[in-house]
Amino acid sequence: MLKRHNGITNTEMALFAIILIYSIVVGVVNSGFFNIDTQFDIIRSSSYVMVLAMGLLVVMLSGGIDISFMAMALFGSYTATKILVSTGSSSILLAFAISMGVGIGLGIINALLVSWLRLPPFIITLGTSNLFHGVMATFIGAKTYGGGRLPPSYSNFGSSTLFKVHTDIGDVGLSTSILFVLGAVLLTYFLIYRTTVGRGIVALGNSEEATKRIGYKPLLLRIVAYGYMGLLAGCAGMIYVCQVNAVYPDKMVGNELMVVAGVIIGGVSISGGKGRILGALLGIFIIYLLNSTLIFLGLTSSWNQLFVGAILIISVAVTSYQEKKKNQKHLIFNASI
Amino acid sequence: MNEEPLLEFKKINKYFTGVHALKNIDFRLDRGSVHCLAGENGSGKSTLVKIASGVYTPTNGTISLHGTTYEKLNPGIAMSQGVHVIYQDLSLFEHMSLAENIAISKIHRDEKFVRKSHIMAIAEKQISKIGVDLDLHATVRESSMGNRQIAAICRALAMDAKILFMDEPTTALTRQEVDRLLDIVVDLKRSGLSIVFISHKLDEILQVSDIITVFRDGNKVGDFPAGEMTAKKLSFYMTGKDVAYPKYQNSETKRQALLQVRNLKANKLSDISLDVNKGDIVGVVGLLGSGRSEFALSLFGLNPAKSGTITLNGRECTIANAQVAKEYGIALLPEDRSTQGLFLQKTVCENISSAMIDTLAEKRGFFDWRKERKIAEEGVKSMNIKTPSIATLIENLSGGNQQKAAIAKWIRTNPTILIMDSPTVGIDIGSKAEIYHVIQNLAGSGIGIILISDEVEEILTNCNKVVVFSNGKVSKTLSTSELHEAGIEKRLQELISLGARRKQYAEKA
Amino acid sequence: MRYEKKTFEKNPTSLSCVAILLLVVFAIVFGRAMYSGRNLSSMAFQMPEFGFVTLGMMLAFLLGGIDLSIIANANLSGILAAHVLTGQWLPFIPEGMKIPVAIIGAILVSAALGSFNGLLITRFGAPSLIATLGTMTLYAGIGMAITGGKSIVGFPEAFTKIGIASIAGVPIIFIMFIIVAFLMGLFLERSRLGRKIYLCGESPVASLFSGIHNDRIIFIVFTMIGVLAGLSGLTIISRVNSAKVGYGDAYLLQSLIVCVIGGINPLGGRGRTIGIVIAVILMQMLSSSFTIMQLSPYATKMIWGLMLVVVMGLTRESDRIRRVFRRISEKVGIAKKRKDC
Repeated sequence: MLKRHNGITNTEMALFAIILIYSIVVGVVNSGFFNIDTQFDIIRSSSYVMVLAMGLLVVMLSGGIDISFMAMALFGSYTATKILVSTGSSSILLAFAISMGVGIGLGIINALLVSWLRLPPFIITLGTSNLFHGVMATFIGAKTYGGGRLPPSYSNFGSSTLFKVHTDIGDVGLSTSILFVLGAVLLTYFLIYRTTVGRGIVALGNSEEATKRIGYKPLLLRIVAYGYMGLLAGCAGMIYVCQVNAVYPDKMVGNELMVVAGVIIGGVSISGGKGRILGALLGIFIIYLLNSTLIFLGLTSSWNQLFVGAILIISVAVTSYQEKKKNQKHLIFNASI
Repeated sequence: MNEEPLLEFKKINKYFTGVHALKNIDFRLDRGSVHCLAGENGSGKSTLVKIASGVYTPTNGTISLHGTTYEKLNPGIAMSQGVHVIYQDLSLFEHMSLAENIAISKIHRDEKFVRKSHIMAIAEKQISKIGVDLDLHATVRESSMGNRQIAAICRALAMDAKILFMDEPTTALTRQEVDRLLDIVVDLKRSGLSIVFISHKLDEILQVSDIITVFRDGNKVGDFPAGEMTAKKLSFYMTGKDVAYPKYQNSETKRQALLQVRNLKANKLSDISLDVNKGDIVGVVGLLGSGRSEFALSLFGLNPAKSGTITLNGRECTIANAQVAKEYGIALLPEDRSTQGLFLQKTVCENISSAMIDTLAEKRGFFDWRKERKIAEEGVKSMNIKTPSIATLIENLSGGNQQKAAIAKWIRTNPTILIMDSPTVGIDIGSKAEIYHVIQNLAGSGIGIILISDEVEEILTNCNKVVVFSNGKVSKTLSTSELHEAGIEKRLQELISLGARRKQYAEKA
Repeated sequence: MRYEKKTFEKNPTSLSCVAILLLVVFAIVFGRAMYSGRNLSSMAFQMPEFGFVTLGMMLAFLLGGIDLSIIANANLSGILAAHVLTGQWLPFIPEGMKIPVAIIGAILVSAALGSFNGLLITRFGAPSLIATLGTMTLYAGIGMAITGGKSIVGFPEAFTKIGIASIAGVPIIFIMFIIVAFLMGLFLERSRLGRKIYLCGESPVASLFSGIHNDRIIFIVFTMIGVLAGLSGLTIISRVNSAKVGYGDAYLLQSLIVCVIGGINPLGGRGRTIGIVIAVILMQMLSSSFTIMQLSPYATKMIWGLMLVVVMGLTRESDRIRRVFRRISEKVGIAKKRKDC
């Protein structure tokens, strides 16, 4: 905030360039990539991941990390679905509300544990990820809900569009899910840049000691940050479930590290206090793009992980090396590996 | 001055388990005055500050702020009454802008929502109050130490500070930045603020202070007008004894070169040449940024030379990293004892052996525990380290004993050259004398010593040659005879800091 | 955050107590199911592959870092070895030489994969968490690209024999694990490099200023982790008699749990191999008990997650708990009252 380069950072420009070049290459190899229905489909199915990235951004700004968000998304959407199905309700709003409420609760648990245990949040949330998933499947349910058993409002929402476009194969529409992405972006922007609490979260990621001296309470700041992640996770879970029009007890969980990779590539610092919304979105978009469009280059999905891994390594190597050189020049000696 | 004091302590006592940290302290701070708190580590000055700012509660006694008496303070109340502390680390947020660092306390207190324009307004108001020009958009990371400190002061001003405590404010500042800071302090004083420094850099602080309050062992020795204070008097008050340091003389008859540096170029160093002969204790002085610590790092391999030559015992060396430096016989006692010099959470024994692990091998190549223990015990004995046992965690030792352990660690590597960077900072005077004794003995036994220091007396007591650094170059070399000339203290003072400006400030105030 | 490192050191003794307690409880609750020859044997067969992974994670923890890529490394090395063993790669190798070549090749490759991590961390200065996150994805990706998700079967009989061979009822691979763990413990506690590892993990800055070559140590350690991953990978394919991506994924979380239980401080510089060995045995018994109780995979997940959190919590509060125990035992008269230190 209030930085000199209020425009766009070098990392973000590089990511933009990569996306552009990649898209052109893919499009040249397979023009089907440029079809409007392909583009709309990419936007639709990447929505839930973008929403998650916003939550993860806030948590990482606070100096922590959370890899339980997929489990939270699953837990929330599963609970909401079970309640809706058993009460016969069809209100999609209610479903979202329940899911997000559950998400906040789980996020707060994460915040409490991170504050109490004082150990690396990666390990703590790895534990809670398994705990949440296990608890959900054991106590709430492990059944699959196919499209037939779900309220029609799910598929209605999942396939709803903002507007439609005529193509050879029929009408194709821009999914309403993009509104959620927009909403998450605006809400995150507001939280981080316009509220005292949000600035406190960023301050916490810079220096916990200094934040305490100002008068902030780190526990409260973490509750907001991790709770926010949970809120967005619940939302993302519902988006996913509606788009797929089915609720499986074991989907989503397992893809966490892709989202983390995307956010890191986007320039969000793992030690906290530094990171931008645009960067996170670009980073996650690249990962998602690679994951879902390599087929257009004729590569089977077996190649996805390889490319994602390679990009992550290159991105990390480049940024870390720059940092290392800068430290060498100023004779700053690093504290950990 | 019959006005009501801003801050008054009456019969304040503070006990920690087994330690009587403050004994019946009366302390008074008036409006528009500048105090300096002096005393050795553990004498009670930091405890006083923590009580005044509400971090600690006194065991008994009363605190009055602006005439209102409190039995207990907490940080919230203290801040609302205008008591602010600027710690040595400045409590700033690295990746946030200066403007935001300045405004954040006020915003946290007064607002739920923030706006860029509001933040800028708050920040600009403060810096215009003190008449400084800062790039408010720059992040803390991108700003100089001096600018960072101004931001820290502005943050307190934005919260309507009435009393400002500053812990060692000038340690990391360049000469110009110290000038600027002292100018600001005088301005603030004129506008009615009171400032309390904790500092050991008397020559700077004395210029703007009115009163020096000296602590010893939890007692207040007295409040002394700054004009009457000298370094000798201060040392006497702080320790209760007249400590005379033995002055060093190089007793080597033949000149034998140990280290010869020619035209060394590295980060922050453009052209360094100097010699260390057997029996020398070479003093290295210079302002911050002059390259003295960077030179030490360069000899030790952590700031590898880009060009130039380093010759040790006649052999030319390329020192690419610290392990190589160690093998060549160069040892470094770094500036930052707690993070660089020692493994605070390891035992005394493990620390003393940490630089010579490769030599502690049994017949079959295993690590020799028995030898390690022996070495540690010898080290403790020879350096007179006060510790319950060698298995004590070193963080439990006093600063002086920790430093002695660090020295023991390097002596055992049989170095050719031992570089000591600010070795007696934060160490009680008793240990200081012991360490000087050790340094002089080491030099006498044939190890070449390079002593980097800010303290004139330390340099004059121990060194037989002084090299002055400036802007990455050697600007002057003072020979043994020059060091014995009259008025050398003043001359050296000027080379290190601003002795000459004292009169100017006295007139201003 | 200022973490307290001291509390982790007291773990091996309390750990042994917990271990003995659990052994007794299992005996009472499960009786023959747990302690039958067949079950003990089955546990002894499953333990080594997990044990190697955990020894690797321990090394990363000792340096204050983490290695997320160990299992992907193990997997990939196993897949490569499998290709050689089945003759799909290097078919010109005579039958008798296939096994040694496959084994040596797998170890060399896994060491290289591990040293790549070391390179990223030392030369490029990448934090271990993201460096190994990247290599984990890359190695898994390579494995996926090579196999397309399919299993590789058809190993020479002799190789399979190694996996199920035993001496006096004790599986050979189990003996190998014990030997490796013993050597590791010896190395860490009795060698000079081992001491340097502890110091480097405790405080990389102080280690640097003590003239210790941090980069070299980190590189060597991650290469060692790679070798351990390779051993794990070979053990897995030998036991399961096939190679496929995804084997052992659950081991990541479990290895973290084991390290925490075993008293290895994730911040570096503390922890002993014996703690790991006890913790691995405990985990294996727990795992086995879950199978006996026929817990669903979800319930298992839940318990592992809960365990991680609980153990970390216990460690954090261990001083407080110790004091409570002391107070209780004094009241009951078991312990004499001690003066306040």
